[in-house]
Amino acid sequence: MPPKEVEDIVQETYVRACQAEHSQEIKAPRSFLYRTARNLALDYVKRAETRLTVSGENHGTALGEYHRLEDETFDRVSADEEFSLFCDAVRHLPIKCRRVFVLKKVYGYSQREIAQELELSESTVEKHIANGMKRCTFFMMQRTAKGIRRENMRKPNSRWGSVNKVDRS
Amino acid sequence: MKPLYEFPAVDEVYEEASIWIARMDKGLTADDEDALRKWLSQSNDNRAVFLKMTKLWDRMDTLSRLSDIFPHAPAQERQPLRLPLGLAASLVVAVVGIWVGTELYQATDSVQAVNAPATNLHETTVGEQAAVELPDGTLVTLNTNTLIRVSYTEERRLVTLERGEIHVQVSHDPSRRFSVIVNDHVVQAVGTEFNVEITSDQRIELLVTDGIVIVGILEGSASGDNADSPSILPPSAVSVSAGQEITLASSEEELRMVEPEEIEVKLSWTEGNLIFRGESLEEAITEISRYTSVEFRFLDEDSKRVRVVGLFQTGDVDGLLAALRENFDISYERIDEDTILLRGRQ
Repeated sequence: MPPKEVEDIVQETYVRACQAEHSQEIKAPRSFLYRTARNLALDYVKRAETRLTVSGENHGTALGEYHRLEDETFDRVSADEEFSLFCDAVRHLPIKCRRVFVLKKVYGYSQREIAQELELSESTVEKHIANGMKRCTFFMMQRTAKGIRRENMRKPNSRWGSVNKVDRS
Repeated sequence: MKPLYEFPAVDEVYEEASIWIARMDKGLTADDEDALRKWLSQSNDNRAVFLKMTKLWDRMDTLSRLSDIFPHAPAQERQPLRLPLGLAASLVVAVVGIWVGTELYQATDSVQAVNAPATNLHETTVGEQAAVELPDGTLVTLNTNTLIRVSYTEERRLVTLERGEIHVQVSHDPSRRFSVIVNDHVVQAVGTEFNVEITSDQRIELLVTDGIVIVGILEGSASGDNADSPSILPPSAVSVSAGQEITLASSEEELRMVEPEEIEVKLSWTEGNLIFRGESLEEAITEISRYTSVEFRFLDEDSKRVRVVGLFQTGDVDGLLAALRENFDISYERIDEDTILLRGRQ
């Protein structure tokens, strides 16, 4: 079980953006799914490119596809706002899903470790992760597509960025 | 008739992409990977959604920052235990079996001759921290506003904590007991690590991070010559082992286990950080005030009760003020160099 407090934070509170210039506090990402995903997706492009080259057509299409893969939907928010939105997204997950997700994304547990910790089957953990990711994606799309919400506009600009207000109201 | 190619609803693409992400996170088999490659080649939507989501997935690792503030150890047996203790009031002893922050110790040039019986003073001012290596290799880290007196002879090793907070990593030497005198108490160890603090209300907090220490009341006067020769403590002294915390107060004396993550938070000062996990702003300011000569005054009650979560770098008052204003809606007014008024916006 994650510490009770982290559930509180994620569950009942809105954690304001943290992190500004203290970049040393930013942990290196643990997962690189994007890189793998991109390589797998580009296999298709490469094949298409080969076909195009063979057929003598210009391969601008493939190049275009290559760039098209760079999705910038979530690039519009700053790191501060993003962190805050992630907290919010996780907070909106159903409770069991949230527990799994917190262990995954906050504590970096493997699916097997999560299964052991929460006494769930590994396939259940996998389902929670899939479901959680879908919900988080929709949440992020909603928040970023409609423009950044007003309260997020008033973004902290402090050097001491890592203090968050926990609004328990 | 060939079946019509069915365009999946966009929602379905997200659904499928999520399942692929969960599976990737678990680890793809070669077959999985082929299937995924095939799925990706099926449509632009599949590729676009999948890449968008994997990117988000990776970025969400930034949530791991929360684990600094809420360290998590896997669930384990933690038995609270209570012991009746015959100690005087106002001593707080915490004992735990985890070590945090050894790497922070640095050798300093305060090397003395082992046999010199001279007393040495080590002091930090408000906001300052220092690491001191004693002649026997014992390492003492001084927190803000701390004064210790070190007195070594061939028979015993003695450190008197006059004020503040220290973390001690005792060099093992069974022939010379290592003692810390704190007010009218003695903390004795052979080879262990612990943290001692005299709090602002003159309580003593002792946190042992490794090994066993013995705590007793100093015979005779609270200070003075007797303090200089704390011999072997009587059997009535309390022995506390790693993994336990003991709280001694006038009305209530208890010994309990401390969770490793709590220890980490308590010792975060050795890394130059203060960690808050939902404390009131008033409590946080009290703690922060130990590290600065600036005095904070609240002009309203509501601001005091704001709950804070985060990592504070000791001594970063400007950063604190900016965060209070931007994140907490609390404005400040610096009325002179050492006084700052805090006021909620409403």
